[in-house]
Order: sequence, then structure tokens, then C-alpha cells
Amino acid sequence: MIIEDDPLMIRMYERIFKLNKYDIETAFDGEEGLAKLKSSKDKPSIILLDVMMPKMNGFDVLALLKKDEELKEIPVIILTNLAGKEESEKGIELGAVSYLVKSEHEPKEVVSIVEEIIKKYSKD
Amino acid sequence: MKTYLCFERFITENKPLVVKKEFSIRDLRDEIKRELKVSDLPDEIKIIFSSDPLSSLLFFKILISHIYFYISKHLGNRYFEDLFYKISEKNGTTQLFGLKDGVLVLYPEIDKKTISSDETIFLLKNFLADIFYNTERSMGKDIILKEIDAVFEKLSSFYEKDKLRLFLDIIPDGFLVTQKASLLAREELEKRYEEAIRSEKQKNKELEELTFNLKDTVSNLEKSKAAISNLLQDLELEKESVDKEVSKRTEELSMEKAILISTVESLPMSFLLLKRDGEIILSNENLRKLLKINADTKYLNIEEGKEFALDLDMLSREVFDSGNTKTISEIFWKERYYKLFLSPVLSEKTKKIIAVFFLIEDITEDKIIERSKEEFFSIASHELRTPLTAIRGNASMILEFFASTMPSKDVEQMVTDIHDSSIRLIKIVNDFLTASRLEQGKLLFKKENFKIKDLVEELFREYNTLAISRGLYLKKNSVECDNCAVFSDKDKTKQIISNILSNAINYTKKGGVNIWFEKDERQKSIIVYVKDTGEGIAETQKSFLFKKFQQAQESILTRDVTQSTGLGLYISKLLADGMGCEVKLEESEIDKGSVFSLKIPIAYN
Repeated sequence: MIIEDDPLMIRMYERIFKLNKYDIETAFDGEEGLAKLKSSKDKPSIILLDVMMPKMNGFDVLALLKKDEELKEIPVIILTNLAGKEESEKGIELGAVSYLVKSEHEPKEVVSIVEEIIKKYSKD
Repeated sequence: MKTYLCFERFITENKPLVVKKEFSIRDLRDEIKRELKVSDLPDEIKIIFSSDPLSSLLFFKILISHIYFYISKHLGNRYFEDLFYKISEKNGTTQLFGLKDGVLVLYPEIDKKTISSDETIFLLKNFLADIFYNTERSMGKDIILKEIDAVFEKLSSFYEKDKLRLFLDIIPDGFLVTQKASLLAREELEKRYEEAIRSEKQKNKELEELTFNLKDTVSNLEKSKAAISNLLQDLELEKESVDKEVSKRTEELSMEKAILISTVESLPMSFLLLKRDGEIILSNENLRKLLKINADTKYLNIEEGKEFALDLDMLSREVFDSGNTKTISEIFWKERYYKLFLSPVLSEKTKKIIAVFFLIEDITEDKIIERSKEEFFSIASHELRTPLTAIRGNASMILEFFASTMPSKDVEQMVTDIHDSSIRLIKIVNDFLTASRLEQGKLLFKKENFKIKDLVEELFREYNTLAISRGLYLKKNSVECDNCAVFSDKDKTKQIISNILSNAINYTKKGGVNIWFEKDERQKSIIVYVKDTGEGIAETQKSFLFKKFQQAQESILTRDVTQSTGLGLYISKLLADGMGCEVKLEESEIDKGSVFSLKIPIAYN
């Protein structure tokens, strides 16, 4: 699942994951994302989470995810364009498995990182 | 006078005056002669003794007065009184003497040891009164008065005044009144006369001295007159020049004051000069507006400005006590931010602190600008990156997944250019943000010990592919110290070397790049070298190398199209400076290549 408010970004990441044969669910903000996650029977293998979003920022969403018994096991990758060191440290501290700055990675690199993480977490 | 001495000896030598109970004047005279060891008595006494028993009585009176005088002189009045008290006791009668057949009878027995209180005069007077009474009774008062006067007259001719006085004092009240008064008056007159004489003598002496001095002074004055007139002339000249100097200095001072005041007034910040007790010496309009005080306000105790004013008082005292300047970079008061600078003002002569001055700057606008700058960077970082990410991502996806559908090679090249440009733009944005943060000192360094060999190998792996793709070699020279460690921020050290390496690769068309490091024991550092066989850097460009937006090209219009932002070396230098490293160009020759180095402090245990 990808939680991201920018339609450009949603479209791009949705496309690359579909091209790589992934099923991908999208949400435009934190509230929608959390609602969808709660209601779906089939939980996603990984969540890609933006930080700067309306209503609720990514860190708040992450904190809520990690408090939720049902959802806390799903690995979360922060995927944002906030490149500050403090932000990345905060993301990891809150329980994200990785912090990626969008502009620094080609879409296909994001896919390969996601693949690696899914592999690692499905093994555990 | 001899009689006088005779009785004096009786008294002073503490010999009791033994007088027979009944004796004739002859006996008395003989005894006196014996005691005095003289063959004859003086005339005066003869005269007294030559007359009738009355004369003997008077003589006795004189004797008594002498006895009294001497006893009181040497022993005090008490002795005399006791003496006669004892006499009367012994005798068992108040009548101490009497005349018997023209012979004086007396019973005195002088004993120094029998002492009593100050009834002396009273008893003596009684004693004398007794004498007078007996005399009066036997001869009548007129006679005794006449005799006393006669004795007084006689005595006054050869007795000193104070002795006469004693005699007068002894005489009971009612006798010798006129003599007493005249004596006192004479005494007073003499005293005054003596005083008058003395003061006149003194005055004469003074006058003499004065006259002498005056003469002297006059002659001196004459002499000085010429000198004084010269001096006056000189003084006049001196005064003129001093006056000129004073008026000049006054003018200068008032000018200086005017300049100072107008300078202080025109300061774009608030100015205040305070005495130790908090009295305002000088302030400017800005300050008066800020604290809402008038030009004639003496102390900062205005209610409205109290919060701030109290702080100023306290700060002023602090500076007075410490003698140091003080800066408060930020203070928030009434919805605005201020910067404070305080400094003691020293007296030129005493070097003591005589005042403290304040500069108060309203930095609210600066704070707003600073804050919006921060916000701008944070937004720029996010808002610029997002569309660039979309361009980059989509272009790369087209190239990867839809290359086969491209209508021509040209289109594919165009998409590639879009992709590469987006990457370059992202890099520029990143470098720009990094440089700004470094310039503002907002980037924190996390120093640690790490092995330099590991870092070099890591970089080698990362850049080897790029070098090969450009047809270049990347060589990692053999290293003698595998365990050489440095103390630095690992990520930022890597960033600097990455920048040097990528520059080396980008500016080299053929040949390749060497990377190695050496240990400099003397400077306690490790130096990483990167040598390329590139185009080299011209002498004229070397000094611009580490400046902002400078590349090894003649002008900005002929900028290199290789992937560079023009900020790389500038950032490298800022980073190196920030963590105590040193990045520099070791050597460079056109068409032969360059050697860059990074010096990193060695790790310590």
C-alpha cells in the first residue's frame, strides 16, 4: 500500500509496482490509509508512507500504525522528499524499516528495496 | 623677720613650741634668742617688746597669724584648728590666754599629729575673738581697734601683700574692715596696673617688630614692584593665549558633544548610558520611545517599562561588577525580539568604571527573515524535489519499459536528456541546500573514529563502475597501514572524497584516476590523495577553485556540461573546515592532470 497525497507520485509509484507485477492499494492521506488498512482482510506486505500530507502527517500515521496490534507488524518505508537528517532519524525511531528520499532513487530502485524488505520480513 | 623665721623653724622642723605657762616677755625674748642662736633680736621686735603688755598682746596676735600662716601653708588649715582644739581641751577652758600682772599667759602646745577638720578658721577666729574679747573687756574696744590698726600699719610696711592678707583673714569679723577693703582695692589696682604695663610692653614689642617688618616689606616691595610689573605683563600675554586655548577647546568639546549626541541620536538602535546608581546620563530617541520615557527622565523606574527597565538595572550592575562587556543575543519583550549589548565605560584617568552603555537592537525583522529563510529551505527541499522526482522517475520508466515503442533513436535520446537533466537539477537543489545550511552553521557534525581504509574501499567500489563506463581506470594504491584510523564525521568525509573522485572522473577524458592515502606522523593526520590524468586547472583558475559556482572554466557562459553543480568543491571546503579537515589542490598541470587531497585528523585512543 502507498499512502501519498500527490497524484503525480501516486501514479508513478502505482505504475512501476504494477509493471513489476505487484498489487498496490493507494490512499491519499493518513486517515484514508488507516481506514483502508483496518477494513481490509488481506493486509498489505508493506506500506510506503509519505510525510507531508494534509490532515495528518506521516509520522503521526506511523505512530498510530505502530500502536495498532493488527497493523504494527507490517513493515513501513518512509518515502518522502524531506531530506533532513532529523526527519530520517525520527522516522526510524518511530519504527520505519527504511527512510527513502524520493528524488534520490529511481522508481525501479524503490521497487528493489521493497522486494528486499518483503523478502526479509516474510522470512522472519 | 627673725621672729618670723624662728616660728617657721618651730613649725617646719616639727618641734613643739614649748612655752612656759607663765613667762615674762624677757623669758620669751630669751628663748627666741636661744633658739635663733643670735646675740640680738632685730629692731622691729624690739619696738614691739619695748612697750606695755598691750604691745605684747599685739605681738602675740602677729605670732598667731604667722603660726597660722605657716601651719596652713605647710600642713593645711586642719592642723591649725586641731592644734587649738587640743589646746583648749588640755586646758579645760576656752580661755587660752590671758594677761596676768601685765604678763601674757598662754597654753599652746603645737603638735602636728593632732589633726581635725576645717573648723580651723572658725576655731582660730574664736581664739582670736577670745583674745579680742579679753582685751576689749580689760581695755575697751577702741583700744584694741587702734592697736590692730597700728599693727596692720606696721605690718604693711614690711610684710608682703599676701601675708598681710592672711593676717587680715585671721582677724575676726568686725575688725579691720576698711583695711581689708583698701587692701583688696590696692591689690586689684596693682593687678590692673601690672597687666596694663605688661600689655603695653607686649604692644610695644609687637609694634617694634611690626615697624621692622614693615620697613623690610617696604624695601622688598620696592624691589618687587618692577618684577611684578614684568610679571603682570607676562601674565596678560599668558592669559590671552590661555583664553584662546580655552575657547578653542570649549568649541572642540561642544563640537564633540554635538557629534556624539547626533551620532547617538542617529543610531538605528536604542542607546543608553547609565551611572552605577541607575541614573541616565545619555539616551537617544529610539530608547526613549522604546521605554516610553522623556528626555528628562532620570531613572528607569517608569511603570510601563518596568519589566525591561528592571532587567536593564540588573544587567548594568552586573557589568559594573564584572567589568566585562555582555551580549544578550535574544530577549523577547512586548511581542518583539531585541538584541542587547552592554559595555563598561572607563574613566581615562582612573581606569575605573564610570558608566555602562547599552545598545538595544530590535531584531524582530531579522528573526522573521531568518525564520522565513528556514521555512523556504524546508519547503524548497520538498516542493522542488517532488516534481523533479516525477520527471526523473517517469523518464527512467519510459526508458526501461517503453524503449521498444520509441518512434526513433532521437526520441529515446530526448527522454534520456530529460532524465539526466532532472538528476542534475536534483543534485543542484541538494547542493544548494547543503551549502546554505553549512553557511548558516546549521549542519551538525558527528565525529567518530573509523578506519580510512574501509572508507576508501567503499568509495572505490562505488566509483569503479562509473570509471569503467567512461573508459577510464580507477586504481587503489597499495596501503601500508591497514589499521590507520581517523577522527571525523564519516558521512561528510565520504561526501568530500566522493566529490573529489567524481570531479576527477568527470574531468578526465582518457587515462584514469588513482586514489591512495598516507600517514603524516608529524601533523598527526591522514591524507587522502586523488590523482587524475584529466585536463588540469589553469593557474588563473586555481584561486577560484573552492569558491561558490566556480568551475575550472574561463567564464560562466562556457560552463562544462558534465554533471556538476558548481558547488561541489565549495561544499567540500565548508564541510572540511567544519570538522577540522583540509581539502586542497596539491598540484595541477594543463592536459596532464591534477592531484587533490584531503587531510583528516588522526584518531586518538
